[in-house]
Amino acid sequence: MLMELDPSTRRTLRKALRNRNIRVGGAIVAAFVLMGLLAPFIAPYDPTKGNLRESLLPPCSKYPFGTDFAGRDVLSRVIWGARTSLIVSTVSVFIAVIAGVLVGGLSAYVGGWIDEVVTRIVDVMLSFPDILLALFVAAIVGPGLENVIVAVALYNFPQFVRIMRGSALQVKEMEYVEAARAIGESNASIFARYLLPNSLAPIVVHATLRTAASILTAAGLSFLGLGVQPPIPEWGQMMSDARTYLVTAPHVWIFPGVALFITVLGFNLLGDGLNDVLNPKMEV
Amino acid sequence: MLLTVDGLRVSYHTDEGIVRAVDGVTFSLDRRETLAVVGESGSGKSTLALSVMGLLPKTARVEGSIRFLDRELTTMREEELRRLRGDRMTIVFQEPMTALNPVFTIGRFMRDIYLTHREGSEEEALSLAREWLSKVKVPGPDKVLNSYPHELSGGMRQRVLIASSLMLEPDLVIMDEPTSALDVSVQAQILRLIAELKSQVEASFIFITHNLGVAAAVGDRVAVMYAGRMVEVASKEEIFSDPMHPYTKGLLRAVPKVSGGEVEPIPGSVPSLVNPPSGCRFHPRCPLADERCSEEEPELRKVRPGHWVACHKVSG
Repeated sequence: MLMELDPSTRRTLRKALRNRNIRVGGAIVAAFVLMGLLAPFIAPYDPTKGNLRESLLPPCSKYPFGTDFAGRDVLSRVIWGARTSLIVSTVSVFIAVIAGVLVGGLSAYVGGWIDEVVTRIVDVMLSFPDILLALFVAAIVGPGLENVIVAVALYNFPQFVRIMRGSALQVKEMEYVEAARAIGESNASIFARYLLPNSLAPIVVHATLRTAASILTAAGLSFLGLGVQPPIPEWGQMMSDARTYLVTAPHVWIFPGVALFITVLGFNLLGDGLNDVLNPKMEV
Repeated sequence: MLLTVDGLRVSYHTDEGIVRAVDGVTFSLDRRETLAVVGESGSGKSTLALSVMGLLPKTARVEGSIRFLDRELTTMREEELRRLRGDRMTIVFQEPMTALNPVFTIGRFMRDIYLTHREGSEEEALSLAREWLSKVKVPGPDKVLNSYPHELSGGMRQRVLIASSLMLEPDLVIMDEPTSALDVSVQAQILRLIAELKSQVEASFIFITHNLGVAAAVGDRVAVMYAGRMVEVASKEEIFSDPMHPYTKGLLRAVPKVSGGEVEPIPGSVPSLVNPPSGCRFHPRCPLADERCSEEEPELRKVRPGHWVACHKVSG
């Protein structure tokens, strides 16, 4: 499979596989994704059903991570929580990337007053502290899985617009764009086949980093009660529930907290590694 | 006439004022003829090329007329212009390193040119591309078709771009300093290739260069540009044996010769295009200039068949 790729892609891949950040981050992210995808098969118990007689049990052989106040298995809830985080972060980043790439790319390509207006709006959106914008949206549209996705996507969106616009402005000035015009390519074709693919490298890196931030933000919203609603297991919400037993049953918040920490670390490592490999474009 | 440019003016509004990049250029080009346009940076030669292709930035103001294949280009709709570009008229840029989209293979690039302008299959497109790659002496055309631009050297990329510009048998090929970014040895190869290809195709060429030697090697006629105007147009033989404009003479004296001898630079520097000198634009640097030169702008006029000069000091 690797042999069928052209030499430069192969070189980039080899370089990526040698990068320690990518290896460690990639392994964590892969574990997180697998955990989310396979949650129904690997979780030992139903994450939403508890046995009140087994409430707040410390880790034991039956419940390796213990149980929460409702007697639900914390391990199962951590595993299912990965699925919730996976859905919220990837879907919201995906929406933000698609929208941001199109808006930012078009804005740069068309230029003029349209670019001016888009840039100002994005500046306004970016002037809010990250979580505040998401909080604002979540407060308006109300809690719930879909709404968290919308809120997080909206808070990611202006960043992708700005990065894409900057990247596209640079690519727009490349001689091959003028050359494309000189061979009679249409604007649509130049945009889709010259501008977009050549502007995407910084987007890939940023999408990875934003996934980490989105997991955190979604967890934060849930922690504040504006995010995913019970009984859907979610790490932020689990920690929020555990506040009452902060000292008496620390395992209830420690395990989701550690899961959150490791996952975010993994995405950040992966993003940094990708940045090393993709961004200083080795060959022009 | 294949191409007739009449009174072409191109100007830009900038914060410093109006830049007149091309200021009243008139010339025509026959079928199968090659016109070499020589000038320093800022003389307007590249702007001239871009205005023929209709590739000037939107901020440029174009006046005058450009007739190509009996159609007026300056007022043509973008959509129609787009159909001519890459098909009937093509351009080869200076920088082969950046003129190719890094995400496409050469084959895809050449195939796209074909499919943009012709009804045909991918196989036809690729076989034509292969044929032209061998015509420009690219070793191993099949391998090159599957290569990405960064896998090729500058000279090789320029060959690819030349092949692409000739592939659809255009009527007009503009080459904007196609060898200036290349190593000297590669330059010579590419020039030889262009000279060879010229005899094989039906196209007319506008060859833009800052190098008189290069102009002589490829041009049938040579036009010398200075500060947005053409100051002398003559056959390549006459421009060397009998240059008339003081600027052309100065340029010839400023070329270092293998045989040795003094190189005489032209005193002064290229004038600002925002606020060009009055009268003849060359008069502040001209050894022959008098009062009339600083007041009255000389017209390009015929001093003998095929030899045009814009200078008050040239009689005839």
